[in-house]
Amino acid sequence: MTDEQAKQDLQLIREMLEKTRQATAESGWQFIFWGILIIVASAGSYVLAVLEKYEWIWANWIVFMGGGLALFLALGVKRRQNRGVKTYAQAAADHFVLAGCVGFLMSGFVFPLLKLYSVFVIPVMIAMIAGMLVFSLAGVYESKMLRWFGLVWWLGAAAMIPVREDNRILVFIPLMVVGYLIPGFIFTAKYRKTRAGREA
Amino acid sequence: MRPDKFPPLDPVIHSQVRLAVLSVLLSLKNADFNYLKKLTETTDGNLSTHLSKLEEAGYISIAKSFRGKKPLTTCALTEKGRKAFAGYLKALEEYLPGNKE
Repeated sequence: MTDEQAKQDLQLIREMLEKTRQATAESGWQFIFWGILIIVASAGSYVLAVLEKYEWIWANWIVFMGGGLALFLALGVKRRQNRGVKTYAQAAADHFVLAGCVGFLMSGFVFPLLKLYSVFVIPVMIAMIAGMLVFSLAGVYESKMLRWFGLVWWLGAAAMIPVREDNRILVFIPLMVVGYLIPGFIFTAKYRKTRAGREA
Repeated sequence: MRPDKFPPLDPVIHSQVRLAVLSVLLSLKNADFNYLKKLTETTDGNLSTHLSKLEEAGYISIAKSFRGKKPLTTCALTEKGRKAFAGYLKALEEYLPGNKE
């Protein structure tokens, strides 16, 4: 082998690593998906409370979360199949997301139904777990931005405590926009830029 | 460095397609056949041959399954493959002008 061939081999390795990095970039669709869904469900929940249709609030959440989860899993599987690849970061993120979902289910449905705490505590608990999830994903995706959004969730959870109990859900909606939708849109913009670079 | 003092290059990796495949799999948990074909810009038959050689050497593991009715081939780098790739990289560096004695 000559110097030139060695350089060509190294160039090929670099090129493949870069192509792989571009092909496995995160699009952030999950953040946008859950962000929009939960904002709509939260608004629905608030409207039902104002209308004093309290018995429908649980149904509202069950329909949105159950339907959302089914759709999320179907879309996730389809997208992954189309991509044809699984990264170590995705495998780790899957575990964190699953842990987060179990946390949301326990704190949002199971514990309040068991009368462990009032339903007005749910937004605080959900915001705290969302903070843990987003902060953990920051480590997986090596994203400083997500780390900050994790902190925003925790601050939001604390900020909800002095708010009148039935108005906490109204704090939750802007928190969802800041802590989920904005990082989702930032990820999407980066993803589109990476794709444009790949196709150029 | 005299030519006979150059470190030997692993003949299994010393091929453009096989080197490309290992480079792709290096940062992935697994990848399917079509993904590898797209990134390495090779043909089905050519890629199949190279994947078989890498599997025979124990550098990658190949799992065959079905997605719906279509066959699905998934490849992953083994620990042996990861070490061999690292060794190949180290040997390559010796060939570069700055590293020659």
